[in-house]
Amino acid sequence: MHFPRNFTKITALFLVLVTAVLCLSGCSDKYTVNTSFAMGSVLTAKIFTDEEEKSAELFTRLNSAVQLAENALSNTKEDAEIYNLNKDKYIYGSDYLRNVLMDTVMLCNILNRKVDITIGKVTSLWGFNTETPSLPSEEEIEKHIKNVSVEKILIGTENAKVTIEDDVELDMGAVGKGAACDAVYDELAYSYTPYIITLGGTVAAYMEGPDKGRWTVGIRDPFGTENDLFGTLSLSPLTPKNAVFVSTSGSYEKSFTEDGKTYHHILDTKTGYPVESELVSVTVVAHSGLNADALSTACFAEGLNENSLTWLSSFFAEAVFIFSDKTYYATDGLKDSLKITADGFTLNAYTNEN
Amino acid sequence: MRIKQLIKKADIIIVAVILLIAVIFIIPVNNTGNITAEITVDGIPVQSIKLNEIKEAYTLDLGNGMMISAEKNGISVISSDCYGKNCISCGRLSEAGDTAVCIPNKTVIRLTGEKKNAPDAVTY
Repeated sequence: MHFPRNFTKITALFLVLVTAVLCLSGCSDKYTVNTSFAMGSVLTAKIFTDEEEKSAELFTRLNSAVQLAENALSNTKEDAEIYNLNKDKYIYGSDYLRNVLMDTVMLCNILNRKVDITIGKVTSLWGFNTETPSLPSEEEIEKHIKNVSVEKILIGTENAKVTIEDDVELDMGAVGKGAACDAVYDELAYSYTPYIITLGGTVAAYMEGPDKGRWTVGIRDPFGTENDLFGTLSLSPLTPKNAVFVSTSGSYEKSFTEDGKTYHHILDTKTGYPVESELVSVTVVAHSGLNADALSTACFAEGLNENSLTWLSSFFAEAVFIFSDKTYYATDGLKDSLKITADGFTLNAYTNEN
Repeated sequence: MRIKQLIKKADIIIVAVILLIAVIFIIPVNNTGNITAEITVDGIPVQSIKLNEIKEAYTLDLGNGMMISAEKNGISVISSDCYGKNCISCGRLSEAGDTAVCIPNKTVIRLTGEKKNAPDAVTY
């Protein structure tokens, strides 16, 4: 038997190639991070491209899409459309505003009005978005909560006029960040560059992620500090948008304590008081930011039962419910993608009962 | 047997050299000690601190009402004129991906560096 004389050279060449491939695979998935402030929260964007110019251009477009959403949906920013609508009770609205309102009103109705954007006057009483949230008087809550109804929004079909009745104000807090993520999606839909953004806890990821095509999205531990995770979701982009959206509603997000009782910001649309629930957070994976935001709030308010599970399945959405007794429930579609990293969590009894 | 002919001494040397080169390339990727604290105010980078290079702990005035304490492998907000003090309750940041945010002061402190299994984003 004869071995080629240049066997050593072949070995060397082979190993050089293997090393090069290993190094390259370790060096790929380059991304740039950009952080800014919008809609009263932090906007973090990671864009996965090697081309600096392209990522700078996409950041600019992404930020302007969020600005567009804020200028339409804010109820505190002067000159924002919702701000003026609340003040004047009518506005000739932008296409974006009218589309978001139409989608949102429909969602509110489907979700049994567990989310209702006409609750603005009641949320202002609580002041969760101000420096000093406080317990309002019973009379004040009583006076405004009975007026809450999405029926009081009229969106013109023949012209751009949007009208609301005098006794209500709109608060897009439950859906605004998701709607802004959708605006980003629309703006960058033909960029064909993978990105993942977080706007105040609502996540949007486009195209394939860095981990074998999947995105790893952490779920904050409701019992820990800001940097503690309950676990992670490994998510593929969903059809037809080739994107995936994740939103969490948690009672730990905004709260204050008065006379020994803690009040959180997710209000019951019937009583005007914080939802009384055994849940501490609900995380929803959905096909749009608006759906993810609305479903997470509605599921939190409804609790884990047949209704909330039916809503989720009718939107082809998945969810993780976390309870105050450190138990959790995940819908079937997340069985393989949810990895719990925090200690002390066990399955909720609902898992076996149903 | 021709096994000695199959693997020559030169082969072993080349394999050893290339493995060494490979290890040199791989090590920095998995080096968790190399963490940088990136501080931005309203999206503009104001400070970049290599945490593993800090010899002695010091405090830093960001000039926007916030005081930062930087020490070897850790950084934290020690005071802020904001109302929520969420930035302070974030505590000591020490791992890549850890973040402290002050929305009223539009300030973000984020630790960057390689970390295994760090998520791409966090929902809250």
